[in-house]
Amino acid sequence: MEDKLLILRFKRGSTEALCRIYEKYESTMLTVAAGLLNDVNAAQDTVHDVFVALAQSPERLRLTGSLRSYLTTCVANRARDRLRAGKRLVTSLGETEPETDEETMPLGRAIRDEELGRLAEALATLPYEQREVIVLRVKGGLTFHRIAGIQGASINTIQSRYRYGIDKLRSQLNGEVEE
Amino acid sequence: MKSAEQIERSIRRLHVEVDAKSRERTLRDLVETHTRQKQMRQALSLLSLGRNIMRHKPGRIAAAATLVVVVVGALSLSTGSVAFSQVRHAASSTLSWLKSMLVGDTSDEPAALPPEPVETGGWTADRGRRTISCTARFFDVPQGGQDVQRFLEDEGIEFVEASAEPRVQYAILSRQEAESFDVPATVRCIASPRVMVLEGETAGFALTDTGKPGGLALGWLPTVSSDGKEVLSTISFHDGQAGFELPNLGTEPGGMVLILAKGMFPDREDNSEQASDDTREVLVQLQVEVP
Repeated sequence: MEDKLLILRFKRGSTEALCRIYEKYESTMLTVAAGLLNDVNAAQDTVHDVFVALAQSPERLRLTGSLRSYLTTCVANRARDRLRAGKRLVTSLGETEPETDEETMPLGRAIRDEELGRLAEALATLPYEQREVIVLRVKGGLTFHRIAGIQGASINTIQSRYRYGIDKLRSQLNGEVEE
Repeated sequence: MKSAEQIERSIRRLHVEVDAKSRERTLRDLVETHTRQKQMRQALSLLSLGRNIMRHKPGRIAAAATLVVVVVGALSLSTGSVAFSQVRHAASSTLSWLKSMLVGDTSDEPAALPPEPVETGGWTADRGRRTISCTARFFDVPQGGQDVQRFLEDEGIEFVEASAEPRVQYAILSRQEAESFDVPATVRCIASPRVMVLEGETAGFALTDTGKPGGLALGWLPTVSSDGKEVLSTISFHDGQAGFELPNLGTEPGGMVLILAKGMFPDREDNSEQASDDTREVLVQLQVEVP
């Protein structure tokens, strides 16, 4: 209910409502972006861009689901664009690492809890599509149906990617424990 | 052994906090962006005469241009009197308003808000102020523009230099001349809005690109001489970077002001080769009537 009121006030021009939306979802969206990009600095830029785009065009905000799902979808799309742009840059530089002004900060290093840090590192090793399904489903709260829309794949494929991803995480983390 | 459920629970516990510096930057950008967006919307909500979406790409100004006609501000002028300094003052504030409309620059007051009404030295607003209509036509002049210049000279139209940088010339046509005037076939009409305002009020025309800053904005502030035989128009132009004013151009009702502006409206996103092209010309035709 609070989200609906915030959206209504934001669409009527309330800057305060916009800031409240940001404060409410900043951490969740940052975690989603960091989970996808495995770089907290890039994730901060992504979240910044998503909210600034929202501020630019409140009239385009037409929710079919929850605000959280909407924002998560925006973050996922931006993260994909960012990764694609990064790949293009790498290719254009002749397969060498791109020089960036900002230092990367892997998610695993940004999390203080040791066990969760290991989980974040394991997450980063998954193929992007599996990682995306897991992050969007568990942290972003998206349905498989919606993720299928984002990835342009069938629900069965999405569910398989989720299952494979979780299994890989299990084997990696359990393997570490057994060692 | 961790189960799938435990893994999911652990993922749910993953949490990254936004650092204070990043939060501050985002909040500042959000407030700035939203304020600018609101000001633009406020300006657009002043639309009293409609909004036309241009269907054709108007040269290099914009790929998807929006023409907005806005009536802003109101001066307290007596009927038939011309308060030159007030008109000039209003036109000056219109310049910054036109600029802010185009580029969304909020650093200069009054940003995207209409110009403040000016002091009128104790004059009172007259309810009998007359309505003046203006049909504006914007033409995209082909590169070089010599043909158009020659054509206009052949028509016997003498241009007066108004500004060197940007280069702006204007000519005033009588009612009779205006009736027989027609633009050369080589120029293409970008937009043709018509606006009606009370004398002493400013009408703003903005030709903007929805995707990038800049464009072309024109402010028109007319008054009528005491005998009603002359319309005095103060015209302000801005392209988001440079602007100029043509104060108190007198035309008879039905007459016309022609303006040739060169070197304005550069496409800032072009590459350097194209951006260096300063020969671009726009012809603006303003025909005024006192119905």
